[in-house]
Formats: sequence, structure tokens, C-alpha cells
Amino acid sequence: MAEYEDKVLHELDGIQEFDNPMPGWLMAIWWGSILFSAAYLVFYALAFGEGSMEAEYRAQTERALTGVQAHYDANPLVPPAPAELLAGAADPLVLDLGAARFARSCASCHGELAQGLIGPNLTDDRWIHGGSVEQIFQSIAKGWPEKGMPPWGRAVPPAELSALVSYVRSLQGSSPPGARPPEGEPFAAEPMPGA
Amino acid sequence: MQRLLKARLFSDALSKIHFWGWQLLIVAAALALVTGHTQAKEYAELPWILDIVIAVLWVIFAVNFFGTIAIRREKHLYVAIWFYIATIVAVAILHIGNSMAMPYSWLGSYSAYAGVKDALMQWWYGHNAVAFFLTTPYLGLMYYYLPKAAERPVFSYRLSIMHFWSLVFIYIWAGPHHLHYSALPEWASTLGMLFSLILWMPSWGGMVNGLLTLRGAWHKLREDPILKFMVVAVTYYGMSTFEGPMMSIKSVNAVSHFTDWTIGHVHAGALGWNAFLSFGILYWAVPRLWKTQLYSARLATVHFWISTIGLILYQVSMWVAGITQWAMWRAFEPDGRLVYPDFIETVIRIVPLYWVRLLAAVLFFGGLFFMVWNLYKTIRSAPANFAEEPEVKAPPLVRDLSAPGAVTPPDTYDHALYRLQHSLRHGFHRVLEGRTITFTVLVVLALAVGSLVEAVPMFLDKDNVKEIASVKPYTPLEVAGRDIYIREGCYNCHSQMVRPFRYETERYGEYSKAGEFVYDHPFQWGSKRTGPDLHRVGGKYPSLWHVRHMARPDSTTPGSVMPRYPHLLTDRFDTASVPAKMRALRAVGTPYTDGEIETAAAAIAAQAAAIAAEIESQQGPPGLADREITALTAYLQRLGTDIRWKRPAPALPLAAAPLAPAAPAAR
Repeated sequence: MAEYEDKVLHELDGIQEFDNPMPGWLMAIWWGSILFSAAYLVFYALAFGEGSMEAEYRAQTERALTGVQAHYDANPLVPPAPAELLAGAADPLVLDLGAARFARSCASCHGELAQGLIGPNLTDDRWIHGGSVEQIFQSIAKGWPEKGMPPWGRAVPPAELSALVSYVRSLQGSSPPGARPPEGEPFAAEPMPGA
Repeated sequence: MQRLLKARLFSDALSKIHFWGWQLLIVAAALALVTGHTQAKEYAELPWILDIVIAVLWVIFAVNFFGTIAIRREKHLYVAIWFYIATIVAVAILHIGNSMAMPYSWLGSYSAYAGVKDALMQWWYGHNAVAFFLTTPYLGLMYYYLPKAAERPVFSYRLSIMHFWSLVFIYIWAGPHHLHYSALPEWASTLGMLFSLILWMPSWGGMVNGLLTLRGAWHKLREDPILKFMVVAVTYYGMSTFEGPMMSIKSVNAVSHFTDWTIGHVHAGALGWNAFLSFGILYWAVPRLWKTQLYSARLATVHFWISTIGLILYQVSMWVAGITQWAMWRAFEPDGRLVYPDFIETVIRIVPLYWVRLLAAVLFFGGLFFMVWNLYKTIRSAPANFAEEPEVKAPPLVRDLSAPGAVTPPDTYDHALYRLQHSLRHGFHRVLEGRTITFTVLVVLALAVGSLVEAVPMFLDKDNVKEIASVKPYTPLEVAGRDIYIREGCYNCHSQMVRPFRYETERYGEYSKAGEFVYDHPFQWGSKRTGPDLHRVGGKYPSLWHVRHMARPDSTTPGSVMPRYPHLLTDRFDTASVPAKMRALRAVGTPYTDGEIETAAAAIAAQAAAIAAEIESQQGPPGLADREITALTAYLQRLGTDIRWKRPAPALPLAAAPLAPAAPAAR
């Protein structure tokens, strides 16, 4: 930096100003950013035109969905067999997993004890959308969006979906305090294996 | 300013009015905001009546400032004064431009612009409030105090000319970079990005001129806490103005937007540049004003180090928090599920970083006590007669009689040419520095180009906001609810702008369209997601969910960090003011008919009763029909429901599960 001349140009209130030129690298940034911007503008104006953000989004979504499709092709989704779901209702490990997920995702609408809050009571023998373990699995996985029940298959890993069904089945007849009045049709729960 | 212009301030009375008026304004602003009176536009929250007070005070400032320039006894304006001229002019234009609103009461009003247009105006203002309130005046201060404190000449006069004019011309274009991937038209977003990139050199010009001024004075940095503060300030300015252009690149902005990164960027700039430069200036100026020595340079050094550590902790914690949250938002499982579908997970993960931020704040704020104590002791040590000052006056400006043609008017072309050559002998800009009015007009023109190029097409070309026929004005109850949303400051933590990214549409729903916001006075897109986006929240939950959520957010969202709003369930909303609000909205373009305004009360009662009945049928508390929660719920349930959309999904996953007894039919 020693090459500057440091010639004093003006002085005011004890402050002097040198007549040094602008540093070369700073000018390089300046012209570089201008040239880049001009090139960018031309490139995008010519190559894409209006709506490129939307096009980008569509392409992105398509790629992602193709990936998901490929994933399912390679790992076909096998819905759990009813016997498996019922067996889970007696397995403490499965029940722990189900209880944890229930507390996280379900308790806010169905109550901590599944007694029903915004959503229906899950402990009695009345079911609005069917009470077989298969039907419960479907209700959780696909949801009833128009009634406020989200499709949890989009958010909950498959293992936890099954664990949830087992957990809910294990709560049958627990008659928690403050339960929501019964809604829906009566359904006699399938017997537990070995019971 | 007085020293640079060699003149007493134009009017002491105006100075006093300006000072005390501004203090009163700050008190009034604090009162207005804590009582929920806000226009809900960032950095422009104050009610319209206070906006007018600001404008009046700003005019007083300008009169005093330009008045002093008029009576100056120094022909040429120093670079610090240029930056002040830019500040005064630009802030006036921005403030008036963005604060246009239609009042419906003494404290309430609706922005004159709606949706996308409001967003563009807001960020034209918001970005340039940073430019012309936090950057240009501080560059002015730097150009005075840094050479003073370092006792070195300013590095380059040419550089100051170059970066001043490029800064003023280019900064004003950059606002739309706050709206990348939003419903703003892409051309505006692109312009915002490119001009932000070009802004790199003009911003760094200030830093380079500051740092190179210190050539030959670097050894002083070891002992002198004042220079330490100033050097960090200038360096931080450089860092922020590199980070800024980088963040304005669309793909980088996709990461930083709505996260703590943006917040960290702005505030690190404010703390590192504005606060540190202020500290340096205070330590330099206070002893001189009171004709004494600084009480303790050691104490100032301690202040310097703890503030610096605080600053770094702050910035690093915000970077990490921002990038962490973004990475969690966008994480997908191979089967197309979000890894963190519950938004709250992404908040809980960064809470430890908020504790780091708190520690940083304690350090930074704690440093202030050292400074206050140090300056207090300094002032106490002032000699008794410190205020006695011999009156000095600079000689009045006289015309340069040696100039050709100065005595006798030029009567030939040759003569005129001589004169011109004489006045231009130090360059064109030197002439400009003697002509305040021309200078100011050029500043206005420089500001106008970018402003007009972006705003005019936006307002004139209907293609920018494609009309959507199904988008209808808010119902009277929703108008009341929206005002509650604004009053409670929901937009500070919740955005209403789903960006066109798969990870956003999967989490929230269809991305937001420009045409959906045409009745949003003001727009509520937000800047930061401490909570999830709300643009598609309408219909997502049963109404009772909202009731329970507002009363106790952790009852519906375990671990929620949202404050409780139980008063919404007990306070009654105000029906009487709704017709006035609708009339104000009509004045700014919402097509309410006379009939709709006259029957507002009945429409409110009907819609509120329906919502209250729904809540009750969901086993919720009865009798909420006249409570604020009902109006707010009406608004929230309306959000994002004007258009029909379908979530993109692959052809088969769960739906193809063979055990389905029957595809879930509609109720």
C-alpha cells in the first residue's frame, strides 16, 4: 500500500483529504458486480422470461414426487396386518412408542387420556369411522381433513403409525375421567390375541 | 456540523424543538405500541398521527440544517455534510411515501396500498431506512470523527465522491431483496438482487476510506480504546455490507429469509457499526466538550472487549440458529414426509442458541454501564469554567475577486469561458460542493430513479398482480379479527407468505399468489417465523382448536413458546367501529357497498353466532359470540381459503394401501 502519493488536497477543521486514487481491487469489485448483473439480466431475460420461479417450483416438485414414487416402488408399502396391530397392543415396547407419539401429535385434540377434546373420545366402544384396527389405521393415515383430522400418514413414520393403532386399541374401555360423550356407531373391539 | 460549516446553528429554538419533540415522540411511540396501536409495517409501526409528528419534526430538522448551510462561512461542503443531506432528503421521501394511510380513528388507519404493492413500498422504505438512517448519517460521523481520532488525513477524496454518489443512487433500488420468492413479481425481485450486488463497492468504499485513513496510525490501536471501537465499527460495517449483497442473492435468501439469520444480520450491523461508532465518538467527544481527560482508558478498554465478545456471540448464535432452522424446515424423508413436520420441533432445537443470545445481550448491555460510569466520572472532573468559550467567528465568505470576470461581468464568450475554466480548476465536483441547492436536487434525482423504476410499473401494470376472481373482501367480522391480529402483533412471529418451495407447500399448502392479497391493508407477510406460516391456516383446524390455542398454546402444541392470550376469550370485540373501518378500507380500494357497511352489525352477529355455535358443538366453552376470540378465529379460518388448491402427491403411497376397506368418502 506504499505506492500512494498522499498528496493533500484540502483541509477543513483540521481534517485533511488526500488525493489518492481508488484501490484497484475495489474497482474490480465494482465493475465485476456490474458486469455480472448485466449478464444475469440478459441471461434470465432470454432464457426463462416471466414465470421462471413457478417453473422452477414445478420442476422441483416433480423431481421430488418422482423420487418418492421410486422409493415406494423399491419399498412397497405393506399395511400392517390386523393380527400384528393387535399383537402390538400387548407389547410394552410398541405401546411406549405409540404413547409417545400420541402425546406429541394426538393429545392436543383427543385429550391426554384419549378421553376426547376437540376430537372424539377414543376409549369408548363408539366409532364414527369404524373401530376395527384396520379402519383406525386408515383414519389415522389418511385423516378426515374436512373434520379437522389431518392425514398423519404424511407426517408420522410407518412404524409409529402402527404403534399408534396398537396404543389406541390398548386404551379400549379405559373410561378416563371427563370423557366426551359417545359419538358414532357401536363396535365391539376385536379380541386381543391369546385373550 | 457547526465546525465543518464554520457557523453557529441556524436557530437554537428549532434545535430545542427538534430535540424535545423527538424525546416526546419516543415516549408517545412507546405508549402507542404497548397499547397495541400499530400500523403493522416494520420500522413504520407508529399510528398515522405520530407519523405526522415525525414529518413535522423532520421538516424542522431540515430547516435548521439547510438554514445553517445557508449561513455557512466555508464555501465547500465536506463529505460528512453530503451524507447528511442525503439522509435528510431520503428519510423524508421514504417516510412520506410509505406512511400513506387512511385513518378510521385518531390512532387507527389502513395503509393506502394493498398486498404486493404495500410490500414493495414497505421494503423500499424498510431497506432504505437502514440505508439512510443507519448508514449514511453514520458515514458522515465517521468522516469527521475517524480522522480526528486517528489524527490522519482522509485516505481519498476521489473515493468519497465515488462511493457517495453510487451509494445514494444504488441503495434505493435494493428493497425488493426482502421479498424474494414471495408473490412479488420476479422482475422486481431480480432488480432488487442485482442492485444489491452492485451496492457492494459503494458500501465498501466507506469502509476502505475509513480503514486506509488509519495507515500510519495502526500502532495507536494498541493503546487507544477510541480507535479500537472505531476500527471494529468500520470493520463491522464492511462485514455487514458484504453479508447484505450475499444474502440478497436469491438462492442464499431462500436460506436466510424467515430465519434468525436475517435478524442477526440487521442487528449485528446496528450493534457493531452504529453502536460501536457511537461509543468511540462519545469517548472522544465528551472529554473534549468538558475540557478534561477521559476518566479511565482502561475502563473503556474493558467496555470494548466485553461488547466485542457479546457482539460475536450474538452474531454466531443467530447464524447457527437461522441455518439450523432452515435445514430442519427443508428436511425430507425418502418417502416424501417432512422429517420435522411439527414446526415446534424446529423452534425447540434452537432455544439453546437463544440462551447464548441472551448471554451476548447481557455482555453488550453490561458494557454500557462501564461507559456511563466512565463518562459520568469524566464529566465530574471537568474544570469549573469549562463552559466559558471565547466566541470565535469565521470571516464571512467573500467572492473570489481574483477570478476572471469576478469584478466586471463577462461580456464576451471568451470571458465566460475563462470564468468557467477558473471555477472548474479543481474539478466539477468541487463546484458542486459550493452549490447546496444543485447538490440536493441531484441527490433527489439519484433517489428518484430507482424508486420510480420499481414503483411505477408496479402500480400501473395490472399484470403484476393477476386478478383472482374468487378473492373477496373480508367480512365485517373478519375485518375486526384482522385488527386484533395486528394489535396483538401476530405478524412479528408469524408470516403469511408460503414460498414456492416444495418444503413449504408440503408443510403449509399451496404457495401464496399475488392476487390473494389485494384486500390486505396493510400486508402481513412478516419477516421472521418464530411460529409457523399462517397463510393457509384457514380450515386447517377446528375453531375450538384456535380457542384452546389462544388461551393456552401449549395445550394444543406441546412445548409451544407462544405467549398466552387468555384475554381474547374474555374481552368483547368492538362492533361499533367496524363501519368506520369499512369506509376507510373502501377509500383505499376495497369495494364495500353502502348496504354492506350499513348492515355490518347484523352480518357480524350472524357470522359470530355461527362460529360460537361450532365451538360449542365441539364441546368448547359457550357464549363466545361477542368475544375477541371469535373475530380472530373468523379471520384465521378465512386465511388462504379464497383459492382452491390441491396438495401435490405421488400417485400411490398410502392411498394405494390394499387394506383400505373403502376409500374415505366425503362425509
